[in-house]
Amino acid sequence: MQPKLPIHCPSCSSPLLVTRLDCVKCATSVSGNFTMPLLLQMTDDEQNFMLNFLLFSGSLKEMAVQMGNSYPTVRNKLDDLILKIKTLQNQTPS
Amino acid sequence: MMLKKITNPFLYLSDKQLNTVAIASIFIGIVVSIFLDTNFDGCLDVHFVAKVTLLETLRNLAISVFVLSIILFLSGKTANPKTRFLDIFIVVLVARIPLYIIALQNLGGYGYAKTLQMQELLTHAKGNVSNVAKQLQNYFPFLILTSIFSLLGLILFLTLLFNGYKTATNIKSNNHIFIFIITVIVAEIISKIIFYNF
Repeated sequence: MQPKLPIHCPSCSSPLLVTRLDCVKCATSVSGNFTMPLLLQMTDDEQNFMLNFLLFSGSLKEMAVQMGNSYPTVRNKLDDLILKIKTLQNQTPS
Repeated sequence: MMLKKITNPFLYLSDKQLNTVAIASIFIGIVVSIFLDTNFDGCLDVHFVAKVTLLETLRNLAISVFVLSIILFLSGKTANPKTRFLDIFIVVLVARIPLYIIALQNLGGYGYAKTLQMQELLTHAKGNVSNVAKQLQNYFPFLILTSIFSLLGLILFLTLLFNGYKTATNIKSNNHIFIFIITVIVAEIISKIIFYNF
């Protein structure tokens, strides 16, 4: 089973930071405070949705057929995702 | 889960399934109106009458469906410019199915006959109130059952309409319930004005 990457603190639900990266080949470690990339801050469902959006060339109608949902339901998911991305972009220090 | 699917099919059904239900709703509306002698003369109205013609049925259904769709669409478009008329139109058609189920009370002209009997009792009362009141008591079971049946149908109609409106417009603010209620009332008033003037 592929372990799931936690993006929020299991204790207080705050966003997690990457503080250490290891090279699996030579065991070199890099330490610091790295913000999680925007795409990794999405849930599995949201990442799958974005992936499907690309695979269907951005056609919400085709996505709706594939997902077995109505067009407005799929469009609403996309709108919610856009809103979440904009909020995360505003929160991320440039 | 089953209740959720019944009260909010717009989240669970595909476009194709919703379109099929919407088209079926048009035919059910026409058949119910003609064969159960029921007038849908208003966005929220279900009235039992002596006879309804095909022309009246088509006019009534067209006005009821289009007025509600247009008013809901305009209110939805104001809140979310991405709102599509087709989505609202399908929501209105699907949501109206419980109204057609309410009309089953007039199977064989039963609902209309009972209403007529009660009207005649009250019209010919002429001061003999206690006697009329006793006779009206016989109609209480009918009145209670039809009230419950109609109320449940109306609640399901409004629930479907609200959930569909919410899905079609993606409104999330707290005041969307009030916007929806006002919109439906405005649609009912406008449809009544059209019915009485044309």
